[in-house]
Amino acid sequence: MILYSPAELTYSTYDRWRKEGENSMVKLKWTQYCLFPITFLLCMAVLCSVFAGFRNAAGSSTLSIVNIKGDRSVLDDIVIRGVLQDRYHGLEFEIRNEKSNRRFQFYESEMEWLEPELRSPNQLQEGNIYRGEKIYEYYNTEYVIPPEAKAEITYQKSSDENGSEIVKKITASDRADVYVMMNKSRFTSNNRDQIRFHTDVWMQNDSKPYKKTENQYYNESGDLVSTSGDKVQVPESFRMSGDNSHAFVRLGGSIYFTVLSTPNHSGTGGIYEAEEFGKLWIFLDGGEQTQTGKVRTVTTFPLDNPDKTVLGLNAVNGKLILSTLENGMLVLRAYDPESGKLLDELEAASYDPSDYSGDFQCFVEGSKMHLNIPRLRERETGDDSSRMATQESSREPAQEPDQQSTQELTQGPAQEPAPELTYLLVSVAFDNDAFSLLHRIEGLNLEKGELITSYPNGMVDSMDEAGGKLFVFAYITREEDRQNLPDDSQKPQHYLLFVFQDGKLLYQGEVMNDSDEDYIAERQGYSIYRDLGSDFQYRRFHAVNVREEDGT
Amino acid sequence: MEMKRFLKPLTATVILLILVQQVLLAVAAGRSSVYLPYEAFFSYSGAVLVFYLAFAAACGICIRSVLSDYHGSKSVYTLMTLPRCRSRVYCSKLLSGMAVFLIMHCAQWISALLGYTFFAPKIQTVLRETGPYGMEIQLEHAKNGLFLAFVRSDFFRLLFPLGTKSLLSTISVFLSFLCGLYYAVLCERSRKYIRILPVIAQIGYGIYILNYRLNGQYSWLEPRILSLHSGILLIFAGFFLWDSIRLIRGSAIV
Repeated sequence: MILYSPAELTYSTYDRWRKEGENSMVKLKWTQYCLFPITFLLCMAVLCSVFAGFRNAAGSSTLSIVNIKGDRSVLDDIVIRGVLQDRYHGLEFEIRNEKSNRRFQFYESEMEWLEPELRSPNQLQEGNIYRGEKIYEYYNTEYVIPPEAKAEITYQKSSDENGSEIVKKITASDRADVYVMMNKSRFTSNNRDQIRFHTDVWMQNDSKPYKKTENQYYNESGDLVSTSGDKVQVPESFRMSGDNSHAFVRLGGSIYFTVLSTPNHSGTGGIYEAEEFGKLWIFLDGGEQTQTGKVRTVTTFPLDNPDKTVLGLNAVNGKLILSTLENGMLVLRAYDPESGKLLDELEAASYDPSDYSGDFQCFVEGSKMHLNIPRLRERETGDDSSRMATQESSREPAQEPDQQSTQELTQGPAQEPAPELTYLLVSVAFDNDAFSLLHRIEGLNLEKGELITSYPNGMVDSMDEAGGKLFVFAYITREEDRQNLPDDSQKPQHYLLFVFQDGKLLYQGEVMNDSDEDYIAERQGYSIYRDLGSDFQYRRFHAVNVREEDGT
Repeated sequence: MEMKRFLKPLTATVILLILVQQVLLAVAAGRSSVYLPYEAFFSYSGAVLVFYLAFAAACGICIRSVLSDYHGSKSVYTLMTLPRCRSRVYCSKLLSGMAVFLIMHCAQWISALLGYTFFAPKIQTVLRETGPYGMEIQLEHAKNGLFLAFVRSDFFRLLFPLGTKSLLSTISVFLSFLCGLYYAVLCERSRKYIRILPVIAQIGYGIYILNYRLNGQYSWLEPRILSLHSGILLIFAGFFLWDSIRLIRGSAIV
């Protein structure tokens, strides 16, 4: 035992003891010292290479244009851009004839996969709804029987299982006024602001086809307990079919709307600006003739022409464009949104209103507007124009007379051939307050057996104009690979490109891609009669546009 | 040294993770007669549950790395009296915990890759009718199937996010969870139970963020600023780190 005097217990003594203690500890191998950093670096290397590999794999999918007919040189000096995306990721691409550049985008929220459509405001409308960054606006119309209408009221009495009386009050009127509702609310919020506006448009018919039903519930004492009612019912053939997406448009931060009307409508149509939204409860507390909010009338026009159909309202180059069918012509009118002054008018194409199927498409890019207006015509034999897939499935082949009578006994009368659907494609430019007609095309020149798929509604996917040529993109299916699948969305789809100039087809190609693989599971689920659920994701093209190489 | 202590249980966890997942995938592929995308197949086989068990095992390793110093040789007292900065003791445990989860993360990726290599050809087959009584089997191998699985699967999007904000979110959730785990154990050892409440709050907040990450593509959720939430989680992690070092330096844990 070593004894130290207090004078020897200095700091250096303690330091010497510490070093001797450390030296006497078990020495570790260098690998044990480095175990953690080696492991850490190895793991980081694996994860980084995985990350880099995936980012690289994103660009290795198929994306190219394959010729079908025509001269491919029309694609020289042209850049086709767009996004091939599903809910989780997108592949932004640029195709320059033979080469394609891709950029992978990982989506972390809904707003990111909506973003490609945000670039073109008019394409952001889905049916009645406009979706902005954090709010959405919803448009609808309602029919209301005005006090001055000639109405017949009938009552039907019945009892429920408790013995309480129910009185059904049916009001049949010769007139129904059109009210427009614009609702505005935030995402995930139940609070809605509303404009409810009584337009100067109505429908009138002496046969009193406009009916409203109201149920009145009485208790055992005969006191009225509650009422419930339906909205005014208008015969389908009288009103505008299709969605209301073309009835309103957003321009310069404001919402402008009109009333889509048919020859059955009367009164005065117009274009209106939604200035101020009111509270929904004002309408809920008041009657069905209550108006809320504030609307400014931009311009009005008569609906006296029995041949007039108001198709829709769009915005091009800061002006409002109203599309109508009048006297057998497609007429476009441009208005100043502030003054309501008519700036220009163009009779773009001949169009029989009886051919109108109830819906059309409008694509706006800068100062150009491209319209696709389907025509529904009775089928002529031997015609191989494009047809809707849903109508194709309902057709039956022609029968011999004795077979036909057998069919009538067992299955009912044979169906008449479905109407033929063709497309009128019109492209106009609006510059310096004047229209100029760029292109007018009849039909898409599809081959026999090719159908434009019914999503959405059998329409084309995109239209754009560059270098004096009109580019049209559409999903089609071919007869040989339809595999008896009932739903168009399950069928193998091809993304075709059509290039027109001077009314003629210059080139047709197919944009080859891998998105059809996403439908294999659902197809097989159908073929073996098993429901595999709807959790699978489907890639589709969005926001496809065409530019010249110099950016115009 | 810290890592060396738990090399055996960690190795066993990793090997079991890969093996059991491959077995489950093999069983599921043997029963499968329809085409399935790989992400749906992986989820349907139950392999995700094996990861959760392995995650729980890794948490157990981390907790044991602290508690084992209080039993047996009771080395915690030696560690506290060493003439070294005591925060190094805590940092060594934290770094070894990070290494445990990192290794498990890599093992999961390896297992997913192996599963795709071995079983994707089996699950991506289609039965085509060739006539009234005939069928043939065709392979419909999805191009980029593994990439699409990692992009579309909710599970893989959490573990292997391919976007910058999601990657930052995953890292912040993981760091705050790990720091919170050690902090909770140290609080328990120092008998300051009330300080476990921030850990519970952090876990709840982490679940809230993960739930948003899983459902962010759907319209019923208002968009969140992921970077902001990641920053908040990192603040949690920073607090746990700071208070843990305070507890150790103050000898509260002995």
